[in-house]
Amino acid sequence: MLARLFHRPQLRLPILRRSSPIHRLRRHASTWRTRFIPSIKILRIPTLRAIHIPSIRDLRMPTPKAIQATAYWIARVSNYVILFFIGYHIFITHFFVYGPVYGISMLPTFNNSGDWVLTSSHYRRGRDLQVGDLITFTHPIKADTQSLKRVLGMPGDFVLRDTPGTSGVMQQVPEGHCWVAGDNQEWSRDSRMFGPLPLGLVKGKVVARKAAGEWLLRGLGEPWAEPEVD
Amino acid sequence: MPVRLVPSFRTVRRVVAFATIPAAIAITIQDNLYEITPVTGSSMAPTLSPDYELEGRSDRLLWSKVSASANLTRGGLVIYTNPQHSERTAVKRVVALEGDTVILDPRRRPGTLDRTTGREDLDRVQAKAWDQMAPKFEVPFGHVWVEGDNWRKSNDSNNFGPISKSLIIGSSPVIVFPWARLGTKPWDVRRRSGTRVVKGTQGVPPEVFRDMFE
Repeated sequence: MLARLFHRPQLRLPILRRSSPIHRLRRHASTWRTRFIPSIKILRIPTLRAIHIPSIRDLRMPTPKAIQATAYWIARVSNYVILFFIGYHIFITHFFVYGPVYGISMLPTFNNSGDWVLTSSHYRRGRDLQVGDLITFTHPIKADTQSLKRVLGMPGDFVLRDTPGTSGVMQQVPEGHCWVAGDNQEWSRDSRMFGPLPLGLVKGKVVARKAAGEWLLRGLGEPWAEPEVD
Repeated sequence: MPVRLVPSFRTVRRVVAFATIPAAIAITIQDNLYEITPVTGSSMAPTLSPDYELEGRSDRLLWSKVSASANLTRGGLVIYTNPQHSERTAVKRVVALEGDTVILDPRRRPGTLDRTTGREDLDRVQAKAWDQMAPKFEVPFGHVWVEGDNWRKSNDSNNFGPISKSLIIGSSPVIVFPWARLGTKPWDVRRRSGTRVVKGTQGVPPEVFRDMFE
């Protein structure tokens, strides 16, 4: 299908070999009458073997037919490009996103670089979200970045407001928000810094992870729940 | 000639394409470029949807979704995801930007009106939070203060505090319905509002997030 995009329409004539039945029947004929195919003479379609040497007249202006053929080609290619972008957008927002993640705020669950995650957009805006899920969300302070953290509290839950061992103050997560934290507490900027995260910013939940060349469907639970693997 | 009971693959493909491709195009344009939404509720009366309580007629606005949270102006309208219900959106006016100091209007304190809609507990909790913000509140970095024009019926920043700019979906709207007001922007008129704003400097991120903006 793709090859058809890049070829101009050409008239295909049947290839008549010397061993064909009509040749065998008329081998001893003195004259051959060829069929008059008017289309060739009118349209002057160049074959692959014809070599076109441009003269000075060709450099002035392309023929209307050439312009039309080029316009059709541009329209068809851009059609497919636009449809691909639209399909990609619908897939990203409603189904899955697959992309790389960077940063040390989620060690040891995710490496600093080289990890790719598959995010399910079914959980966008906090639908079916539970405590312990890994979520991607638009950053509440910088709108053009996305972050990946773990949900520690859903609306109504009581969570520790600051780092464990500092103040010990508990806070209730307000309606429509969640409390997120990174697994690497010393190097994570999360709800301890920007407060409860509105669930409307949640983009999806991590369902699979590809680390250093292998797919991992396990290992996404809380770091203290899974046994250490050496 | 026998009637074809099972449609051919080409027919099925054509019908499916006719049904899904325009819908997909509409969804993509709505999410990224422009969207038309109705303004339900009377929190912006009489500027928008003035007859909503009596007759249920709502105005429709055309929003620009490109870079919605950039270039916000004080007094402009925005549509944002409701911070209390993540599946809903709301339309309000941006009263103060980040860094401004808002001098709260005592009329807008939650619970001042005699409401019997079962919201008394919520009003009491929100009133306590409002008392902690009053009388002057500085809007933190990356947030805006939104308020509805109808102070009696508006669930806005006086109830849930400033909202993050990332929640804002669209801005710079234009009325597209009713036809009599097509193309106008009646909210550009300067209205006397009880909430006063002291303009401050913007764009200074706090120490914790400074390296994200360099």
